[in-house]
Amino acid sequence: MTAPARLSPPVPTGNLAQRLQQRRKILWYLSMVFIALVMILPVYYMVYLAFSELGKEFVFPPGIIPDPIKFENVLRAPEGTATPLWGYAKNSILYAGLGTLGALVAESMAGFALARMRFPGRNVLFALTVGMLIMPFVATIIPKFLLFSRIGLVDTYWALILPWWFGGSPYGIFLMRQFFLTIPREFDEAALIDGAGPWRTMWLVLMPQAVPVLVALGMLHFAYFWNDLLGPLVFCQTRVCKTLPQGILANYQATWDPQWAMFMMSTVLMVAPVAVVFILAQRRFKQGFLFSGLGGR
Amino acid sequence: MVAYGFLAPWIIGLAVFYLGPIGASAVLSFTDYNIISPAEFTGFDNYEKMITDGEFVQALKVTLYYTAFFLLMYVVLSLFVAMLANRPGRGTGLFRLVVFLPSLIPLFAAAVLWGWIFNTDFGLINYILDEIGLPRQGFFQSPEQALPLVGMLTFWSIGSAFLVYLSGLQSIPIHLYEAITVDGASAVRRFWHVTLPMLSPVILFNLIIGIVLSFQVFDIAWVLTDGGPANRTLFWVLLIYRRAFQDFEMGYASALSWVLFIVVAGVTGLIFRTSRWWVHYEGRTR
Repeated sequence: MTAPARLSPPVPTGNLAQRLQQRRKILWYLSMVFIALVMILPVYYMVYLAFSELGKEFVFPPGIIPDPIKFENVLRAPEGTATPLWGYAKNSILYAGLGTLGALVAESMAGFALARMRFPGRNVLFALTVGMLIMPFVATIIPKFLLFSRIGLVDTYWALILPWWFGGSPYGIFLMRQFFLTIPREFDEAALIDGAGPWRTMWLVLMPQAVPVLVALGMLHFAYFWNDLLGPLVFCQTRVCKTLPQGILANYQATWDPQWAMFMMSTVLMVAPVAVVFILAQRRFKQGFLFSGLGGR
Repeated sequence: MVAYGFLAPWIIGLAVFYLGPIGASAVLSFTDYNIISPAEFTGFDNYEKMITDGEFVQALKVTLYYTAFFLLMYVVLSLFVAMLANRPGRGTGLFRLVVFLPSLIPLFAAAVLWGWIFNTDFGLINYILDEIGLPRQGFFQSPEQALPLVGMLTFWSIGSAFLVYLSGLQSIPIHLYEAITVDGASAVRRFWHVTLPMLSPVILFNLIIGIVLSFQVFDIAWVLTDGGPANRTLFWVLLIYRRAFQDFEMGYASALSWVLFIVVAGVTGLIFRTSRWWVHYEGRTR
């Protein structure tokens, strides 16, 4: 390339270059520190309020740490102001646990078939699947609600879980298909020679290799179900199947003057297990574990 | 034929939970239905009502405004944050964690927390404004400030887009940067000529997901603002929820959600259409 007329300054050399490099590095560090602070402050404040003394959460100016630190909030918060949270937690675990499990199985099966098998209608089915990626959840919620109330599934776990057992999410199917496409076909052929059918090939040969993707996808699903508010709000109006967000909000709204410390502690307790699993998994599967399957796009 | 066995759950799910409902809501949208009495065919009444319904027009405006804010955070700013985190150096691991952490907090809880921090009477921010001698602000109680504030707070939910960008950035071959640096290219040129084109498939992905997400905003309005003040945070989905599950106007609510589907499908379809002009697929002959 010959572009002598370009107006960019000449490449600096020697001492000047070093100083520029240095200055750029400092600038980079400062922006990182700034953004990190912006990001962490609300999280810190939430934890701060969670350990504050009830009724004295908002002493101004706030100290660096709450004074006194109320560790007993950890035990008090789940007892709830109006309603204990244990039942809601059980429902949340059922919803998130069974939903995740069912979705992963269904998504793997569909993804496997779309990646590995030839059959009439495959392209149409794949196009439909990708098309459903953009389907907003609310667009289908009214007919789903009417259907479930007709067959008596509203106010049971099944209204929340069942849809995920039937194919999971288009996102998951797409991700699993992309992942299976990255595994060389030699594996399947070897399994075939050993006399394994597609079912055993999938479960015994391909699925063990998919563990990182399954963990990532499973965590995405779990976190979504765990934090979901609209789904339970529509499908679960009774105590039988209400989930943690509903329980925590019920306690929050129970008193005219909300018990802030208890609300924040409930939330912290709700987020903590998910956060710990995310952090551990992120360490285990280094590079961008969440989207390892997307590499083959 | 075995393939259909593997796909049976998804084919049933697709029919029962996706295509069926979207078809059913299309049918319902031409009726007047309150669950108790049988549905009554009313033609295009619901759609005509929509055009003249001030609340729908408001919800449309509010949702589009929010979407613009959300995409700025989710698609644009998160890219710059990801680029910061992509440089090798001490502390980047912790930085990535810190950026992602707020995304794990459920939206309803974040809404309560923000509601407190920006509380007009007792909030932390107004306390600080007092201390440094600036006038107090209305924040969520101010019709002018509520929506922009809700929009800005989406900065704390860029986590997933950030991770997608990060893995995209890490898969750009380093030799491309080396080549252009030898040519004496500035950082800005490296960004325009290597990072952006190489990242364009990932940008497309985040853009599509971002649009689908932002049109469905619900939690913060339901928990915190209840659509107010003066309907300034009346999001589309909140309106659907109210019409469907509080007023039991299932027909009208179906029309609202059907239009939502059309809009999201239309916008994402348009973006896919234009993507061939700006998305660069490495190693693919088209």
